[in-house]
Amino acid sequence: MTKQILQWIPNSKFRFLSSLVNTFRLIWGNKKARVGLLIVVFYILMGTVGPLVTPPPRTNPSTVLQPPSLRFPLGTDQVGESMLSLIVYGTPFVLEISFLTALFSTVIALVIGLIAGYSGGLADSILMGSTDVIITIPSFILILILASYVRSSNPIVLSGILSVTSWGYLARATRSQVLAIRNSPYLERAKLFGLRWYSIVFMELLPALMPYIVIHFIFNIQGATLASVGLYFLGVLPYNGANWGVILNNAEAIGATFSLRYAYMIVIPSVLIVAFVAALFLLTYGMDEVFNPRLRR
Amino acid sequence: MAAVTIFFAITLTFIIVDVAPGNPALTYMQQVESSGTINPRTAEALTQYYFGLEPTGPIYLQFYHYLSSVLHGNLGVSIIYNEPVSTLIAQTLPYTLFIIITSTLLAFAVGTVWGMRLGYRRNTKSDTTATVGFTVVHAVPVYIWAVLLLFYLGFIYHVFPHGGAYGAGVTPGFNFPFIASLLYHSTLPILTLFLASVGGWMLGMRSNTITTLGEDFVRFAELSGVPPNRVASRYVGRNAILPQVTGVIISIAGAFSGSVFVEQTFSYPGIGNLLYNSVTVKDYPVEMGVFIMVITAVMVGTLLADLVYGLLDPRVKVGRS
Repeated sequence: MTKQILQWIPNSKFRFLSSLVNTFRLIWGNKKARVGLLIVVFYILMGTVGPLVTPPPRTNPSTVLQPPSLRFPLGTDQVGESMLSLIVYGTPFVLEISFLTALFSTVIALVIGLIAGYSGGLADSILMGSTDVIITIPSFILILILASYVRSSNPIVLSGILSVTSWGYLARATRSQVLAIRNSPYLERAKLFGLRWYSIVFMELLPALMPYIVIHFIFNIQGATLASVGLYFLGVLPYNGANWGVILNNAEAIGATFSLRYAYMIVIPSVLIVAFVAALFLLTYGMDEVFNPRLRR
Repeated sequence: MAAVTIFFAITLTFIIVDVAPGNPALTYMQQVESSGTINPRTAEALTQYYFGLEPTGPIYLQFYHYLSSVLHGNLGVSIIYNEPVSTLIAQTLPYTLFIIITSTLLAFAVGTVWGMRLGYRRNTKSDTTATVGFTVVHAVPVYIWAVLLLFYLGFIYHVFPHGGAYGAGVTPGFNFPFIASLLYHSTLPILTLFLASVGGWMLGMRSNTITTLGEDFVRFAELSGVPPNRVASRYVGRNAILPQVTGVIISIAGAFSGSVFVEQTFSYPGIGNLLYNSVTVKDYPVEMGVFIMVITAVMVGTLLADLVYGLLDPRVKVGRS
């Protein structure tokens, strides 16, 4: 009932808010999405509030390579730094990189998809050709080569590199959405009413694309997390304090893969990464079910 | 499409090597010149020798020379090993192709069959358990699989060797000890790539099966008394597998990306290890050659996948897409 009333309220701001609340309620109602969301919120808290309540990692020769204990809940690394502090202080960087990458690639994808869909002809063929290329090439190999050429730990530069390979699918979805609504009667009507192109994009196109954008965004956060941790794990980027990948790299470098005693140095960062990625997967599956009612059953 | 992609790869490497600010070719030439003992013309010739391009002259001519030399198979010469890049690639690519093809086919077969079974039993207890399990398996990145397998099977239980492509005492060639040693040494790399991709195949096939089961033609076939096994194989399976075949291309590309981690962790002498080593020592000609070759390999895989797709789906006529 409230939904029907809300639809007749002309105030678009209020309508937007109510649709946001409705979407959130749908997501919260899905079990997979709820679990995923809770874990992701935990990581976000770890990245924002965590550094305020955890002491910064400090090298200490007397506490080198200690297994988990009361004083060091997750043990210490080869220079005596607490693993918990390393992980907590590495989180903001990982979150920042993945968020920026997702943002960049979403913007690139929307712009390319819009131009390709609206202009058609040669520009369309060129843009869609490059989209196909980006989708087919092995992304991490391109990322590795670009990173080896740039060799920077600057978050913006790094996110720029990571987003180069990840905009393909959303650009394609945007283009087909543009093509689908370009010649539709309701758009003709909107144009007759004198709607400008930008209001068509923001009022008609983006809402229709929202499911794609949200899922693309989450997938990119996941992909960028894995790729950036992978780059630091391989050690091709300049050393950057405590990144999750650097922890793994250290563990491999001191030979934690050779002994059961130091296994915690591998297991802890692994669990940390896998939990984050799995939570994002759960979130996308849940959202898929929310957006795509055929999967619900 | 394949030609366009390879052209793109060559253009991109050209831009990185020769056009971008602070590019390796120019840096190299200036380094050689500033050493003082070598005159500029020799420095230019050395740059041409290593990078396979002419460092001076108008940019379009430079690009033309680079393109023609790459297409003639001259990928430059490694600065570190002082060997032609094409030779280095020819030595390493077979090992990588072996682990990538084996693991992809295994993961495809296991994931597709299992995914279809789970799709048939959707929302039962075993389906939910398996789906959650495979989601976690799918969420583990390839480098963590590599490190964990190296740790448990290589060191704790000494079941598999932890490096190299074959044992010390065997001579490479078509003889039984060599092939046995090769298989033994490549088990962990193949297992790693398999585990990293099987979850994706299974989850994909599961959702394809569920979607296909909801189609009207399946209901019609069931109601007209077609035997259930025939419905499963000819009606559901044949349609649900189509998106999976498209996925093979993406999976091969992903396996090439993963091979960098796998081969680095298991010190397996494939193309990923070659790339990793050249990245750490800034051997740019090798990096660029590997990039071009990997893209070419993926494109060949794409063409093969297209052919298979045409065989499976009579609606697509090969050569007229």
